[in-house]
Amino acid sequence: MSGGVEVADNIDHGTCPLTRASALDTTGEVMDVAVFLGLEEAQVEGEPDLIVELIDLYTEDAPRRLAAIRSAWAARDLAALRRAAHGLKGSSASLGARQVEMLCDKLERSSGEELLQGGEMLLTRLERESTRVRLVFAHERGRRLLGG
Amino acid sequence: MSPSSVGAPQRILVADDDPVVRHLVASVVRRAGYAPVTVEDGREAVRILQSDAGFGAAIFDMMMPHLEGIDIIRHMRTEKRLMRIPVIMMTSETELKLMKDSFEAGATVFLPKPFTALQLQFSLSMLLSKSSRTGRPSTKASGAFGARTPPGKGLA
Repeated sequence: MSGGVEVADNIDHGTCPLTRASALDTTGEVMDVAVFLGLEEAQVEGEPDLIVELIDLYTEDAPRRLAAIRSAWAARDLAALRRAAHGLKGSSASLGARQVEMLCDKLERSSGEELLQGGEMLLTRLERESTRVRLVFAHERGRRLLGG
Repeated sequence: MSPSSVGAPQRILVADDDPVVRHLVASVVRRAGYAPVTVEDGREAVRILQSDAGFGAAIFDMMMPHLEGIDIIRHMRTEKRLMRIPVIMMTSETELKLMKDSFEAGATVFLPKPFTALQLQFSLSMLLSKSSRTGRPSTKASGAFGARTPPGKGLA
Protein backbone atom coordinates (compact mmCIF):
# COMPACT_ATOMS: atom_id res chain seq x y z
CA MET A 1 0.00 0.00 0.00
CA SER A 2 1.33 3.41 -0.89
CA GLY A 3 2.04 6.22 1.50
CA GLY A 4 -0.70 8.28 -0.07
CA VAL A 5 -3.28 5.69 0.75
CA GLU A 6 -2.09 5.46 4.33
CA VAL A 7 -2.44 9.21 4.69
CA ALA A 8 -5.95 9.01 3.25
CA ASP A 9 -6.98 6.83 6.16
CA ASN A 10 -6.41 9.75 8.49
CA ILE A 11 -8.46 12.26 6.57
CA ASP A 12 -11.71 13.47 8.05
CA HIS A 13 -13.74 13.38 4.86
CA GLY A 14 -16.76 14.78 6.64
CA THR A 15 -15.30 18.18 7.35
CA CYS A 16 -12.51 18.57 4.85
CA PRO A 17 -13.46 20.36 1.60
CA LEU A 18 -11.54 19.69 -1.58
CA THR A 19 -9.53 22.87 -1.67
CA ARG A 20 -5.91 23.41 -2.57
CA ALA A 21 -5.17 24.39 0.99
CA SER A 22 -6.98 21.44 2.51
CA ALA A 23 -5.48 18.41 4.12
CA LEU A 24 -6.64 16.40 1.13
CA ASP A 25 -3.69 17.76 -0.75
CA THR A 26 -1.65 15.42 1.39
CA THR A 27 -3.47 12.40 0.01
CA GLY A 28 -1.35 12.86 -3.09
CA GLU A 29 -1.87 9.67 -4.98
CA VAL A 30 -5.49 9.17 -3.95
CA MET A 31 -6.81 12.41 -5.44
CA ASP A 32 -5.26 14.98 -7.70
CA VAL A 33 -6.93 17.98 -6.14
CA ALA A 34 -5.72 20.36 -8.86
CA VAL A 35 -7.40 18.26 -11.54
CA PHE A 36 -10.58 18.10 -9.50
CA LEU A 37 -10.69 21.84 -8.87
CA GLY A 38 -9.84 22.47 -12.52
CA LEU A 39 -13.29 21.12 -13.34
CA GLU A 40 -14.69 24.44 -12.19
CA GLU A 41 -13.20 25.98 -15.36
CA ALA A 42 -15.91 24.14 -17.26
CA GLN A 43 -18.80 25.44 -15.14
CA VAL A 44 -21.35 27.31 -17.20
CA GLU A 45 -22.77 30.34 -15.42
CA GLY A 46 -26.37 29.89 -14.34
CA GLU A 47 -26.31 26.11 -14.73
CA PRO A 48 -26.36 23.57 -11.86
CA ASP A 49 -23.07 22.82 -10.10
CA LEU A 50 -21.10 20.87 -12.71
CA ILE A 51 -18.92 19.14 -10.13
CA VAL A 52 -21.96 17.80 -8.30
CA GLU A 53 -23.35 16.52 -11.59
CA LEU A 54 -20.04 14.87 -12.48
CA ILE A 55 -19.80 13.28 -9.04
CA ASP A 56 -23.32 11.89 -9.47
CA LEU A 57 -22.47 10.46 -12.88
CA TYR A 58 -19.24 8.92 -11.61
CA THR A 59 -20.89 7.50 -8.51
CA GLU A 60 -23.47 5.81 -10.71
CA ASP A 61 -21.07 4.67 -13.44
CA ALA A 62 -17.97 3.54 -11.54
CA PRO A 63 -19.62 0.65 -9.64
CA ARG A 64 -21.02 -0.66 -12.91
CA ARG A 65 -17.58 -0.59 -14.49
CA LEU A 66 -15.99 -2.16 -11.42
CA ALA A 67 -18.56 -4.95 -11.56
CA ALA A 68 -17.70 -5.48 -15.23
CA ILE A 69 -14.02 -5.72 -14.33
CA ARG A 70 -14.76 -8.19 -11.52
CA SER A 71 -17.01 -10.24 -13.75
CA ALA A 72 -14.42 -10.35 -16.54
CA TRP A 73 -11.80 -11.39 -14.04
CA ALA A 74 -13.99 -14.18 -12.69
CA ALA A 75 -14.38 -15.46 -16.23
CA ARG A 76 -10.68 -14.88 -16.91
CA ASP A 77 -11.75 -12.85 -19.93
CA LEU A 78 -8.71 -10.61 -20.07
CA ALA A 79 -9.81 -8.68 -23.15
CA ALA A 80 -13.09 -7.72 -21.47
CA LEU A 81 -11.21 -6.89 -18.29
CA ARG A 82 -8.88 -4.52 -20.15
CA ARG A 83 -11.78 -2.83 -21.93
CA ALA A 84 -13.64 -2.27 -18.67
CA ALA A 85 -10.49 -1.03 -16.94
CA HIS A 86 -9.88 1.39 -19.80
CA GLY A 87 -13.36 2.81 -19.35
CA LEU A 88 -12.98 3.38 -15.62
CA LYS A 89 -9.54 4.87 -16.19
CA GLY A 90 -10.88 7.66 -18.38
CA SER A 91 -13.58 8.90 -16.03
CA SER A 92 -11.32 8.56 -12.99
CA ALA A 93 -8.57 10.58 -14.66
CA SER A 94 -11.10 13.24 -15.57
CA LEU A 95 -12.11 13.74 -11.95
CA GLY A 96 -8.60 13.52 -10.51
CA ALA A 97 -9.03 10.07 -8.97
CA ARG A 98 -5.40 9.38 -9.58
CA GLN A 99 -4.94 6.14 -7.68
CA VAL A 100 -7.94 4.53 -9.35
CA GLU A 101 -6.67 5.76 -12.71
CA MET A 102 -3.24 4.24 -12.08
CA LEU A 103 -4.60 0.89 -10.96
CA CYS A 104 -6.87 0.73 -14.01
CA ASP A 105 -3.92 1.57 -16.21
CA LYS A 106 -1.95 -1.24 -14.62
CA LEU A 107 -4.80 -3.70 -15.16
CA GLU A 108 -5.12 -2.57 -18.76
CA ARG A 109 -1.44 -2.80 -19.57
CA SER A 110 -0.44 -5.94 -17.67
CA SER A 111 0.37 -9.03 -19.67
CA GLY A 112 -1.83 -12.08 -19.34
CA GLU A 113 0.78 -13.77 -17.21
CA GLU A 114 1.10 -10.75 -14.92
CA LEU A 115 -2.65 -10.60 -14.54
CA LEU A 116 -2.96 -14.26 -13.74
CA GLN A 117 -0.32 -13.86 -11.06
CA GLY A 118 -1.33 -10.53 -9.53
CA GLY A 119 -4.75 -9.72 -10.92
CA GLU A 120 -6.70 -10.51 -7.76
CA MET A 121 -4.50 -8.26 -5.65
CA LEU A 122 -4.74 -5.42 -8.17
CA LEU A 123 -8.48 -5.76 -8.38
CA THR A 124 -8.88 -5.77 -4.60
CA ARG A 125 -6.79 -2.59 -4.38
CA LEU A 126 -8.83 -1.03 -7.14
CA GLU A 127 -12.10 -1.76 -5.36
CA ARG A 128 -10.75 -0.34 -2.11
CA GLU A 129 -9.45 2.82 -3.76
CA SER A 130 -12.67 3.28 -5.65
CA THR A 131 -14.62 3.11 -2.40
CA ARG A 132 -12.36 5.76 -0.88
CA VAL A 133 -12.75 8.06 -3.86
CA ARG A 134 -16.50 7.75 -3.74
CA LEU A 135 -16.42 8.56 -0.05
CA VAL A 136 -14.44 11.74 -0.75
CA PHE A 137 -16.85 12.63 -3.54
CA ALA A 138 -19.90 12.01 -1.37
CA HIS A 139 -18.67 14.45 1.24
CA GLU A 140 -17.63 17.00 -1.35
CA ARG A 141 -21.05 16.71 -2.95
CA GLY A 142 -22.75 17.31 0.38
CA ARG A 143 -20.53 20.26 1.14
CA ARG A 144 -21.31 21.87 -2.21
CA LEU A 145 -25.03 21.34 -1.93
CA LEU A 146 -25.00 22.87 1.54
CA GLY A 147 -22.96 25.76 0.21
CA GLY A 148 -20.11 25.06 2.61
CA MET B 1 -16.15 36.32 -34.44
CA SER B 2 -18.05 34.91 -31.51
CA PRO B 3 -19.59 31.47 -31.88
CA SER B 4 -23.12 32.89 -32.04
CA SER B 5 -22.53 36.18 -33.82
CA VAL B 6 -24.19 34.96 -36.99
CA GLY B 7 -27.30 33.53 -35.35
CA ALA B 8 -27.67 30.20 -33.63
CA PRO B 9 -24.50 28.84 -32.07
CA GLN B 10 -22.57 26.37 -34.13
CA ARG B 11 -23.27 22.77 -33.22
CA ILE B 12 -20.52 20.43 -32.08
CA LEU B 13 -20.96 16.66 -32.27
CA VAL B 14 -19.57 14.97 -29.14
CA ALA B 15 -19.21 11.17 -29.03
CA ASP B 16 -17.94 9.39 -25.93
CA ASP B 17 -19.31 6.31 -24.19
CA ASP B 18 -18.12 7.63 -20.83
CA PRO B 19 -20.98 9.66 -19.28
CA VAL B 20 -18.60 11.63 -17.07
CA VAL B 21 -16.37 12.79 -19.91
CA ARG B 22 -19.33 13.32 -22.23
CA HIS B 23 -21.04 15.61 -19.73
CA LEU B 24 -17.81 17.44 -19.01
CA VAL B 25 -16.99 18.03 -22.66
CA ALA B 26 -20.54 19.17 -23.34
CA SER B 27 -20.22 21.71 -20.55
CA VAL B 28 -16.95 23.05 -21.94
CA VAL B 29 -18.53 23.30 -25.39
CA ARG B 30 -21.51 25.24 -24.01
CA ARG B 31 -19.24 27.49 -21.98
CA ALA B 32 -17.30 28.24 -25.17
CA GLY B 33 -20.55 29.39 -26.76
CA TYR B 34 -21.30 26.41 -28.97
CA ALA B 35 -24.15 23.91 -28.88
CA PRO B 36 -23.13 20.31 -28.11
CA VAL B 37 -24.96 17.35 -29.60
CA THR B 38 -23.95 14.30 -27.58
CA VAL B 39 -24.02 10.62 -28.46
CA GLU B 40 -22.88 7.55 -26.57
CA ASP B 41 -21.01 5.60 -29.21
CA GLY B 42 -19.48 5.68 -32.65
CA ARG B 43 -22.36 4.02 -34.42
CA GLU B 44 -24.77 6.68 -33.18
CA ALA B 45 -22.35 9.39 -34.31
CA VAL B 46 -22.26 7.97 -37.82
CA ARG B 47 -26.04 7.61 -37.87
CA ILE B 48 -26.43 11.30 -37.07
CA LEU B 49 -23.78 12.33 -39.59
CA GLN B 50 -25.57 10.41 -42.32
CA SER B 51 -28.56 12.71 -42.06
CA ASP B 52 -26.97 15.86 -40.72
CA ALA B 53 -23.67 17.31 -41.90
CA GLY B 54 -24.26 20.71 -40.35
CA PHE B 55 -21.75 20.50 -37.52
CA GLY B 56 -19.07 23.08 -36.97
CA ALA B 57 -16.76 20.47 -35.51
CA ALA B 58 -16.78 17.02 -33.94
CA ILE B 59 -15.12 15.66 -30.80
CA PHE B 60 -14.66 11.89 -30.63
CA ASP B 61 -13.26 9.54 -28.06
CA MET B 62 -10.82 7.13 -29.65
CA MET B 63 -12.09 3.96 -27.99
CA MET B 64 -15.87 3.52 -28.12
CA PRO B 65 -18.25 0.57 -28.48
CA HIS B 66 -19.32 -0.54 -31.97
CA LEU B 67 -17.21 1.96 -33.89
CA GLU B 68 -14.05 3.66 -32.72
CA GLY B 69 -13.30 7.34 -33.19
CA ILE B 70 -10.62 6.74 -35.77
CA ASP B 71 -13.03 4.68 -37.90
CA ILE B 72 -15.60 7.48 -37.84
CA ILE B 73 -12.98 9.92 -39.07
CA ARG B 74 -11.96 7.58 -41.88
CA HIS B 75 -15.61 7.35 -42.89
CA MET B 76 -16.02 11.13 -42.74
CA ARG B 77 -13.01 11.72 -44.93
CA THR B 78 -14.50 9.59 -47.67
CA GLU B 79 -17.76 11.56 -47.84
CA LYS B 80 -17.64 14.93 -49.51
CA ARG B 81 -20.28 16.54 -47.31
CA LEU B 82 -18.48 15.43 -44.13
CA MET B 83 -14.92 16.18 -45.21
CA ARG B 84 -15.17 19.80 -44.17
CA ILE B 85 -15.91 19.00 -40.49
CA PRO B 86 -12.80 19.28 -38.34
CA VAL B 87 -12.42 16.55 -35.73
CA ILE B 88 -10.82 16.62 -32.30
CA MET B 89 -9.73 13.19 -31.18
CA MET B 90 -9.63 12.52 -27.43
CA THR B 91 -7.93 9.58 -25.81
CA SER B 92 -6.58 8.46 -22.48
CA GLU B 93 -3.88 6.52 -24.31
CA THR B 94 -0.43 8.06 -24.41
CA GLU B 95 1.17 6.17 -27.28
CA LEU B 96 2.54 8.49 -29.95
CA LYS B 97 1.56 5.98 -32.60
CA LEU B 98 -2.09 6.67 -31.83
CA MET B 99 -1.55 10.36 -32.51
CA LYS B 100 0.14 9.52 -35.80
CA ASP B 101 -2.67 7.12 -36.73
CA SER B 102 -5.28 9.76 -35.85
CA PHE B 103 -3.70 12.40 -38.05
CA GLU B 104 -3.27 9.94 -40.89
CA ALA B 105 -6.97 9.08 -40.61
CA GLY B 106 -7.84 12.77 -40.85
CA ALA B 107 -8.10 14.07 -37.29
CA THR B 108 -7.46 17.78 -36.95
CA VAL B 109 -6.50 17.95 -33.28
CA PHE B 110 -5.29 15.20 -30.96
CA LEU B 111 -6.17 15.80 -27.32
CA PRO B 112 -4.76 13.39 -24.73
CA LYS B 113 -6.79 13.00 -21.54
CA PRO B 114 -6.71 14.56 -19.06
CA PHE B 115 -6.92 17.95 -20.74
CA THR B 116 -8.03 21.29 -19.40
CA ALA B 117 -11.13 23.23 -20.30
CA LEU B 118 -8.95 25.93 -21.78
CA GLN B 119 -7.15 23.46 -24.04
CA LEU B 120 -10.45 22.21 -25.42
CA GLN B 121 -11.87 25.72 -25.75
CA PHE B 122 -8.72 26.86 -27.52
CA SER B 123 -8.89 23.92 -29.91
CA LEU B 124 -12.51 24.66 -30.74
CA SER B 125 -12.01 28.37 -31.22
CA MET B 126 -8.96 27.75 -33.38
CA LEU B 127 -10.82 25.32 -35.62
CA LEU B 128 -14.00 27.33 -35.85
CA SER B 129 -12.47 30.76 -36.26
CA LYS B 130 -10.44 29.32 -39.09
CA SER B 131 -13.59 28.03 -40.66
CA SER B 132 -15.33 31.37 -40.22
CA ARG B 133 -12.50 33.15 -42.04
CA THR B 134 -12.27 30.76 -44.93
CA GLY B 135 -15.83 29.46 -45.01
CA ARG B 136 -14.38 25.99 -44.90
CA PRO B 137 -12.99 24.44 -41.73
CA SER B 138 -9.52 23.06 -42.02
CA THR B 139 -9.27 19.30 -42.08
CA LYS B 140 -5.51 19.42 -41.97
CA ALA B 141 -3.75 18.81 -38.68
CA SER B 142 -3.53 22.35 -37.46
CA GLY B 143 -2.96 21.81 -33.80
CA ALA B 144 -2.16 19.09 -31.35
CA PHE B 145 -1.37 18.58 -27.74
CA GLY B 146 1.04 15.81 -28.38
CA ALA B 147 2.19 15.42 -24.81
CA ARG B 148 0.11 14.24 -21.92
CA THR B 149 -1.09 17.09 -19.75
CA PRO B 150 1.18 17.50 -16.74
CA PRO B 151 -0.20 15.99 -13.54
CA GLY B 152 -2.41 18.37 -11.72
CA LYS B 153 -3.46 20.29 -14.77
CA GLY B 154 -5.91 17.99 -16.45
CA LEU B 155 -9.62 18.18 -16.80
CA ALA B 156 -10.93 15.34 -18.91
